[in-house]
Amino acid sequence: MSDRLSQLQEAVDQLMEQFIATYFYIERHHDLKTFSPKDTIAPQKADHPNEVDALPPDVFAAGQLELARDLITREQQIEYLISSLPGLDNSEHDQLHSIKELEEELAVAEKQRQEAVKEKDEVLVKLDQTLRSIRRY
Amino acid sequence: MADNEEDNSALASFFPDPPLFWKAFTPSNLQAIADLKQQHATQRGIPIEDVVRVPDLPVDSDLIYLQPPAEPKDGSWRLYGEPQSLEESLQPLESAGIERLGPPLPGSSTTPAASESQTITQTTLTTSTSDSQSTTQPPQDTQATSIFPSQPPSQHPSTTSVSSNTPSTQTHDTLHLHLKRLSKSLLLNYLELLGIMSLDPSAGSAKAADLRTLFLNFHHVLNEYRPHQAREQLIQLMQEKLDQTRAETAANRAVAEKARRVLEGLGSVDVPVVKGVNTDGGLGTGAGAGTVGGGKEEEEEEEEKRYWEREGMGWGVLDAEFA
Repeated sequence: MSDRLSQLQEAVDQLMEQFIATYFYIERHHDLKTFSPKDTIAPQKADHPNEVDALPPDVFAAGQLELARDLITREQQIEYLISSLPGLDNSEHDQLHSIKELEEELAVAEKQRQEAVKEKDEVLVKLDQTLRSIRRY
Repeated sequence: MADNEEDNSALASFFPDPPLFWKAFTPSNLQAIADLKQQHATQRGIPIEDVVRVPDLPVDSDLIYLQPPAEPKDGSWRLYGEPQSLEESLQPLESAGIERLGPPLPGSSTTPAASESQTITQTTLTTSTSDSQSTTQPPQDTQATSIFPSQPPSQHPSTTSVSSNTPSTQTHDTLHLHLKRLSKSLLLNYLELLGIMSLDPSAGSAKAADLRTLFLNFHHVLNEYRPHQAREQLIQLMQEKLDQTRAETAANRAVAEKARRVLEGLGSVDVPVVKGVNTDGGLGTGAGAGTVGGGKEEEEEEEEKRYWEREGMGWGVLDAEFA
């Protein structure tokens, strides 16, 4: 799991890949039209047998719809990631300030923690002694 | 002759020979460098672990092989033919020959004159290109060759993403907007590209170049934002650590408090137990061990029984307290 910035960059790259994939889908599967009654659709060249692999209109439309939906979904994902980028309201100065504050608070908390551990150990020793004395009776 | 033989063996051997300076790592040399380091550390008043290298060693001695070389003076060197630099910095978009869409991030390493970027934001894209010399892709061509009929110039996506910028403040609150504009421009440009390609495939390359510019800009903005993100992440980590430490403190205190209560509870409950122990068990052990010989085993059994009873009671009290 990478940070949101990397996720965003990956999403943008995926969007680009989707652009390309969609483009090739349309290029490959579109149908062939005649401009005038005299035109004829040329037979496929032998060395490029599958240059255009025309799909039935409904299948092609469904494919287009799906790809378009995917693109929009990706776009929404990107925008969501953008709006969840952390700390946009903080300037560098604020950040450094809060880092310093946190540092001090951490030092205090660490001290308190050690005191608490010590206290706990002392009580534990006492409890231990009491238990031993119960046993010894 | 001897040299020739060595050369031959060096050429013939399958694996390359170790570097020549391996001979310098003798015990006496190692000791000497350690002494020098110690001396250096005491002179400077810093811990010995912080001494990476002792400056001003005599050049002709073998000792120079025992420590890393000095930093390059001009801050750059070559590695595998690639120039490397001590200072890693983000290459500004302009120097990479890519048109910048939108304002530079505050505090970023890229510092085009702020006034210039202001004029760019105010004017249209066409004038901005004539201002900044570094652009490679002339958008005038895009509009000239663009045969997408339903595209009025004001809808040129690059223009939309450029024209509506607010001046960059010290905070990054405009970044959201900017990024969203870029991503929307991406989609719009793609739509246009498809439209162009369906009518005149030869004109598509300019639009594709637009897309490329947009993508590069997007990535660049994100990369500029990275230092900010790193600081933000540090703050988050520290906050987490702080919460964790506080939670641990609280948990420790709670346990200590509980244990203390148990102790107090034992003190109040103990009285009858202690009485019984004093009258029966305490005397029993003293007398039984010393005097009575025949009934010793019986007494020991009884003692054992009583001990387990007391033990059970003690644990019962503890269980009640902890429950």
